[in-house]
Amino acid sequence: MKLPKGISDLLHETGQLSAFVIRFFKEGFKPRYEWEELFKQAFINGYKSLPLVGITAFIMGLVLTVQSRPTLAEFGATSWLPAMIAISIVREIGPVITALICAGKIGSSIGAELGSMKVTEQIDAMEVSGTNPFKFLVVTRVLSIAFMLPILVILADLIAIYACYIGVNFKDVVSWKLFYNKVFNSLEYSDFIPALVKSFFFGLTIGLVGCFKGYNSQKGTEGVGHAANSAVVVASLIIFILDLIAVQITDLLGLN
Amino acid sequence: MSNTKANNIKLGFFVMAGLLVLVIALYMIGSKRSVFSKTIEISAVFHNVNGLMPGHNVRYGGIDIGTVQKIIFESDSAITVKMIIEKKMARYIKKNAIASIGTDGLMGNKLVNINSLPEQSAPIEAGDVLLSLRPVESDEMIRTLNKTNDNLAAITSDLKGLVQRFNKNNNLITLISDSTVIENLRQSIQSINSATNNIDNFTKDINNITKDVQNGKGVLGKLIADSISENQLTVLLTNLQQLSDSLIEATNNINQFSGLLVNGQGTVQALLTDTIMKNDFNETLNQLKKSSFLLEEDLKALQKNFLFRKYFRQKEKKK
Repeated sequence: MKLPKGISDLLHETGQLSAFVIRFFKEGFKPRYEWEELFKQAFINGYKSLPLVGITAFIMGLVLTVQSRPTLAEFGATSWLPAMIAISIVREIGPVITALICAGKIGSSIGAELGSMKVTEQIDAMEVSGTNPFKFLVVTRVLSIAFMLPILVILADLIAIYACYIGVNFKDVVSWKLFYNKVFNSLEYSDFIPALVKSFFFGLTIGLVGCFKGYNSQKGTEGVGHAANSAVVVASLIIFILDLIAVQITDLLGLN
Repeated sequence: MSNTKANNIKLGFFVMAGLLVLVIALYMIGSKRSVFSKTIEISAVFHNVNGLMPGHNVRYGGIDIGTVQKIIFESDSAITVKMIIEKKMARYIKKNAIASIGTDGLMGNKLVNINSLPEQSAPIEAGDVLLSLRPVESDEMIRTLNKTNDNLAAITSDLKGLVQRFNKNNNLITLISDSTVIENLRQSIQSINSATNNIDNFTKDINNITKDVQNGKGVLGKLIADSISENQLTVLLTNLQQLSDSLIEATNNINQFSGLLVNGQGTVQALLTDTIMKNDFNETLNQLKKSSFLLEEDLKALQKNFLFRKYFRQKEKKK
C-alpha cells in the first residue's frame, strides 16, 4: 500500500518527533546534568524574554479592558470588569499569548541555532569530543523553557492585571484595594493551577519542537531558515491543540 | 565567568520574583476561601439548593465568613449543605440562626445567608445543624409578580372608570365639598348618638323596673308577688263577675220593659205611637192651661171679694 507523499511525510515526521521526545525523557533525567548550560539557557530563554512578554501582556490587559468595557456598560456591569478580565487573563490569555510569543522568539532562535550547528557539523564534532550533544544542547534548552515559561506566565498575568487596573481607571475610578479585592474574590485555585500546568507543557512543546527542527535540519543554510520557520509554526499549532486538550481535561475534572 | 555569575543573579531574581508572585497569589486566593484560617464545619438541611455549589460563599450579617464545602443528598427532599466557617466568627452566630440560600445581587453567584434571631441562644459549635428557610425561587417570584401585575391592571382600570365618573358628575363633588352637608351630617350623627343614649337609659330603667317587679316592689310587684293580694283579687273578680251578671239581668228587664212599651196597647203606648191622640192630648193640655189661668183670675177676684176678704186677712196675720 502506497500512501500519498504528503501523508507519508507527515507520519514520518510525527514518528521522528515522537522518537525525539522519548529520547529526551530517557536522557534528560540521567546524570550527568549540565547545570551551567541549563542556567545559561534559562537566563536567555526566561530572563531575556521578560521585556517582550511584559510589553505584550501589558498591552493585552489594557486593550482587553478597554474593548470589553462598552459591552459590560450595556448591562450596567462595569464593576465586573476587573473580575472578568482577571479570569480571562489568568485562565487563557496569559498562558497562550506568552507561549505564542515565546514560540516566536525562543522556538525560532533554537531552531536556527541548532540547525546551523547541525549544518556546520558542530554537533558531530561534539560527539567526537566526548560530550553528549543531545544532553548538552537539547535537554538543557527544553527544560529551561519548560520551567521558565510558567514563571513568565505568572509575571505576564501580574503585568496584564495591572494594565487592566490602569484600563479600568481610564473611565471609572477604582482604588487599587477595591480592584485587587474584586480580582482575588473572583479567582479560584481552579483558575490558577491548570493554567500553570498548561504553560509548563507549552514550554516543553516549544523547546522540543524547536530542538527537533534544528537537530534534524538538512540541506545547508536553506535548511536552517526552514528549521527556524517550521519550529515556530509547528510549536504554535501544537500550543493551540494542547490548549484544546487542556480545556477538555479541566472540564472533565470539574474545574471550569 | 563574572558575566555568567551576573547573569545567574539576574536569573535568580527573575525566578524568585515569579515564585513570589505565585505564592502571594495562591495565598490571596486561599485566604478568600478560608483555607489558611482555623475553621469549623456546620451544616444546614435544605429542600432545594437552587444551584448552590461547593465554593460558594457563606455570609453572616453581610460579611463573608466561609464557604460551602459539600452538598450531599440525604433523601429525596432533604439536601445537607456542609459549610466551613471561620472559627473566630462562630461565637457571633447563635444556635437558633437561620440559613437561607440567596443570590449575590440580581444575577450573581448563589450564597448561603445566615441570619440571627432576636432570641437568646448559645453560640454555634462544630457540627451544628442550622434551621433553614425555603429559598426564594426566581421563577415563583416572577409568577407571583405576574399575578400582581394582572391585579394591578384590573385595579387601575377600575380606578380609572371611577375617577372618570367623578369627573363627569359634579353632584358628588359638590356634596363632598359642601361644608353645610358635613355639618348636618355631624349634627345628625350627634342626634343619633343622644337618641341611642336615651334608648340606653330607657332600657336601663325598664330593666330596673323589671327587677323591682321581680323583687315584689310597687303595686304591680305586690300584685304579682303577694299571694294575699292575689286572693283578694280573686274575690274582687268574683264579685265583679256577680255584678256583671246582675247588670245583665237588669238590662234584660229593661229590655223587656221597653219592648212592652213599644209593642203594648196602653196609654203610654198610644201616646207614643198614635199621632191623633197625641194632638188631642196636646189640645187638652192647652185647654187645661187656659182653664187654670182663668181659674187663677177668678180666685184672685174672689180674694178681693168682701165675703172672703176677712178670711184672707186672718190667714196673712197668722203667717
